[in-house]
Amino acid sequence: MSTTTPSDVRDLALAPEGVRRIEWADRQMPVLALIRERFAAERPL
Amino acid sequence: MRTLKAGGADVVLCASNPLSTQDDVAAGLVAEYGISVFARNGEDNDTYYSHIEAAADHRPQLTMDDGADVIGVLHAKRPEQLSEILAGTEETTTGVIRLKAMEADGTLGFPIVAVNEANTKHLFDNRYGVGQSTLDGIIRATNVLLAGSTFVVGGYGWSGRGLAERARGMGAHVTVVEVDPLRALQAVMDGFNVSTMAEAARHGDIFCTATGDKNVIRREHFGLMKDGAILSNTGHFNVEIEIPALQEMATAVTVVRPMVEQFEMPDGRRLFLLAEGRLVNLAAAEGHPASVMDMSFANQALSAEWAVKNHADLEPKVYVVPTDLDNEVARLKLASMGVEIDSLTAEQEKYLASWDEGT
Repeated sequence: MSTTTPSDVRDLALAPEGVRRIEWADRQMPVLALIRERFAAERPL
Repeated sequence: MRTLKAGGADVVLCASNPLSTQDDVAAGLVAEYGISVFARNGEDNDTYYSHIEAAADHRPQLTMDDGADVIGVLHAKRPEQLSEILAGTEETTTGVIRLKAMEADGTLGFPIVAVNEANTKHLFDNRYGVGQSTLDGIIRATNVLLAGSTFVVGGYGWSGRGLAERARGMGAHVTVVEVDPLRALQAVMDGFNVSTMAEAARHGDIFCTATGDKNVIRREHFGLMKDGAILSNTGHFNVEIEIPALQEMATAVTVVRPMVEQFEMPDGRRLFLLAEGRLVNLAAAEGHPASVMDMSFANQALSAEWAVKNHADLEPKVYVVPTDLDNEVARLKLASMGVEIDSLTAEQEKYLASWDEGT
């Protein structure tokens, strides 16, 4: 897997597993999801 | 990270602790979400700090810390960058202690929002998150049976009390060690045994520190402990157990399982240190469950938004999270759980605001 994002991580090949874990955690974070939706619309940062 | 990015921020991430990075998650953030990550699980101290420097090279206008190491590096090594920073936020008790010390010294270079001080953070994350994940880490590292064991908790803040309650729930006999009389009294009335560390050291099977201070378990205590005692820490830094003294006293140090080091004492006793004395919940388990981090991260995101909006009015001080943000997080969390609550009737509101109506 290649990326142009500057980074120093162990192994980018681990990404698919990491994405599954991020998505798993995300299912348990409904408040953050609401804030993320609002942020995407309002771009406060 | 994804929420900050959605909000328009250009985000760079470094580790807050050398053992806490989940390498697959770090890779996923880079490859799938295009977020710059500088973190490797098990990185040595030099790499850890070089990763903080890499994040600082990004010239942030907003910092979000977990233990205040980014803020520490910016102040110690890059004072010229301080004026570019609108504000920072801090997640942990440990970090807030450091930052309040900097404020008192007059060395704090930009305003900080102490996310840890939000009720929807410390009353939940510290209590339920630390409580559960710390036990999870101790159990994963050792497979020890808690039922019937003597479990010693150093510190009865929200983390300590969450841990003590949960250890008791698993059948342990829990002893709390405190220095604050009010907290010690609360621990007594919550039904825990309370003693000095010197006394607890003689009886404990499993020790865990949760204080934010150093050398809570130290040389004088190691000499008193039982053969087989397990030592762990869930405070942010690896200073709560006096590891240099343990290393000096030991005749041999052996890794007996992943995350478990055996220190053999001259008299033959063996003491087991978990996760090099770093926070056992992050190093030996997965940190807090996402459901409770939902609230902490919501506070982080809302605090970042608030700090950016209000930075012109803020001074280089440690601020608490505004109450309306805190309440908003609780309201959203309840709604997400499908829990409805009552509101006051007009009559009740009036009663609470008046003083002339008695019996």
